[in-house]
Amino acid sequence: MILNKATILDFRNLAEVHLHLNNKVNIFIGNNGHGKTNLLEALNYPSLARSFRGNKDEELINFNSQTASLSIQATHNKIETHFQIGLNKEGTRKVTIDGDIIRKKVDMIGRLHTLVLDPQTVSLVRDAPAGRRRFLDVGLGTLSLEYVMHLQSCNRIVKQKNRLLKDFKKRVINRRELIDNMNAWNCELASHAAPIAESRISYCRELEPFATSIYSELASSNSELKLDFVSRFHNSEKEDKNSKLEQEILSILDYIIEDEIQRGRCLVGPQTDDIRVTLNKIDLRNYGSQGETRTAAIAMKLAQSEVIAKRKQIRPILFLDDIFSELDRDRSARFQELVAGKHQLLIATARIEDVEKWSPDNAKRWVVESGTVKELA
Amino acid sequence: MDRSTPTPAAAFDNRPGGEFQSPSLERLVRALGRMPGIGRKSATRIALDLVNEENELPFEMSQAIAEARKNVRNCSRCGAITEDDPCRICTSQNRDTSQLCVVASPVDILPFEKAGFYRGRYLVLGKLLSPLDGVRADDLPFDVLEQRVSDDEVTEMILALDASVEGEATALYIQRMFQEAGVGITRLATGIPVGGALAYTDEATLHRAFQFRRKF
Repeated sequence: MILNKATILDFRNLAEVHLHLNNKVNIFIGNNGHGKTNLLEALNYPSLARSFRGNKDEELINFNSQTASLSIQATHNKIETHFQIGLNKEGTRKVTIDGDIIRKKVDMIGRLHTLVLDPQTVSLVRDAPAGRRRFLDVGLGTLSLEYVMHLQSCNRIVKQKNRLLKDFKKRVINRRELIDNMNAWNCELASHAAPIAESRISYCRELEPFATSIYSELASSNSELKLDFVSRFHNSEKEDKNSKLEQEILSILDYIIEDEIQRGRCLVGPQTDDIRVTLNKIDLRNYGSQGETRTAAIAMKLAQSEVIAKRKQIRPILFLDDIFSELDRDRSARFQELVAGKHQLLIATARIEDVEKWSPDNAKRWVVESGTVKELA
Repeated sequence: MDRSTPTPAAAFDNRPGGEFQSPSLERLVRALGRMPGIGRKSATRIALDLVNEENELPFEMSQAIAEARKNVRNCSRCGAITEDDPCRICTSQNRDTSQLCVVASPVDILPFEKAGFYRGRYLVLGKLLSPLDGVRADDLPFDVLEQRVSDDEVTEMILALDASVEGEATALYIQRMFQEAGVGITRLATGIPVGGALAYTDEATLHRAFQFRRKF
C-alpha cells in the first residue's frame, strides 16, 4: 500500500499542508515540537479512525480553528482510495471513503493498512500488559471485523458487569439479585471472549516465526523469540475448539465470582490477557536488556506486517517516528535495510545523520518547521 | 477541499427569541426538535408549516393527538399497543396459545403482525437487561412471563430480541430461567436478509449465517 497525496488543514499545529509523497522513502526532518509527529498522526488517522497517540478527535483540531480536515489518497494494486475526514470541536466527525459516507467506525478500519513504530512501540515488551493487548487488537482488528465486533461486545459486557458489582457494593441490589444477574452476563461474556481468545492464540502463533527471523536478522545472531499468549482462560498445553473454550471460560468465571464480588469489579476477561515474550527461553520483560527488549518489540511489530502481507497480500505503510535514536548504529542500519524495499516509509527524525543512508535519488526529504512542511530540493 | 464550518445551531441559543423574531416559534421549534428523528432543520420546517395561517392541519392534528393520548394504552396481558384491553391478539380464539413470542418493546410486534405468518401470542418485556441503565432482572416482568408460560401451557417460547449485547444477555437469562421447565426455547435466526446480496453482507452476519447453516 502506498500513500500518494495528502492535504491537511488545521490539524494540530499544521495549518495547511499539501504533500505529494514518494513511493519508497519519505523523510521529515525537524526539531522537536515543530510538528513531525503531528504530521504522521494525521496521515495515519484513516487506518484506525483515530489518533495513534490515543487523543480524542477534538484534541486534534488546531486551537484557532473549529474544524480540521484531512484528504488522503492511497493506492494498492493500482487502485486508488480516497479518504476524506472532517473533524469539529463538538466532537462530530464526517468521513467519506471514495465519496461514500462512512458512519460506523468498523467500516473504516482495515481500509488503510499502516504500522507505526515510535518510541512507545519500542517499550512494548517492557510496558504494562495493556500495551501488548493493544498490539494484538490493532493487529487483529485490521484483519478481521468480526474480532472488532466481539471486542466491542466484551467491552460493553465488562462495563455492564462492573456496574452490577458496584450496585451491590452500594447496596442498590442484594446478593441474590447480584448472582442472578451475573450469571447471564457471564454466559454472554464467555460467548464473546472465546472467539477473541482463539484469535489471539492463533495470531501469536502466526507472528512467532516471523518475529524470530526478524529478530535474528536485526541482532545478527541466531535467536529464538517466542510469543506465548497468557490468559487465565487458556492453558497452552491443551488444544481446544471454540465451543469447549467457551465452557472453560464460563467455569472460570463461575469459579472467581466471589473474588469479583469482593473486589467490586471484573477480574477476568479479554481485558486481562497478555503475551509473554521470551528470548532463548529467557523472559524478556523481567530479564531482558534494553537492546533486547527494543529489538524484540520492533521484531514483533514488523512480524505484523508479514502477517498482513500473508493474509491479505497487502504491505502496510510503515510510519517511523523518531525510532533510530532508540537503536545502536548497527541495528539501526540493519533495520533500515530490512524494511526498505518492502514498505513505503514515512520517517520522522530530528537527526539528519540517522537517515544518511538514503540518497536523494530514492527518497524525498521535507523540513518540518513550526507547522509548515517544505520539500527539500 | 471544502472548509465548511459545522452546524451553527449552538450559536443561536444565546440570542433572545433564538434565530427567529418570535420566542413562541423558537419554543415550538425546540419542542419539535426533541421528537425522535427530528433535528433542528426539520423542526424549523415543520414549525413554519404549522404556524402558516392557511393551514388547518394543526387543528386536526391536535385533536388526533388528544384522542390518541386518551385511547391508546398497553395491553395488560401482553403489553401490545391497543385501544381495547386485553388486546385483540390476547382475546382472539384463533391464536395458538402454545406459542409465545417474547419481544423487547411493543413496536417489535408490528412487523410480525404485518407479515401475518405468526399465529401465537406475545409478551412485551418493555426493557432489556442493562445495569448501566439501571435495568436488572428484577425490573423485567419475568414473573409475568413465568405465569404466562404455565397458564397458557406454552410449549415453545420464541425469543425475538435485539442481537445487541443487552438483547443477548436477556435471552441468556430467560434460557437459564426455564432450563428445567420443559419449554422449548427458540431464537430468531440471524443471517443474510431475504433478497440480500451475499457480496454486501458484513463479516459478522456472514459468520453467524455460516455457523447456523442448515441441511439443504
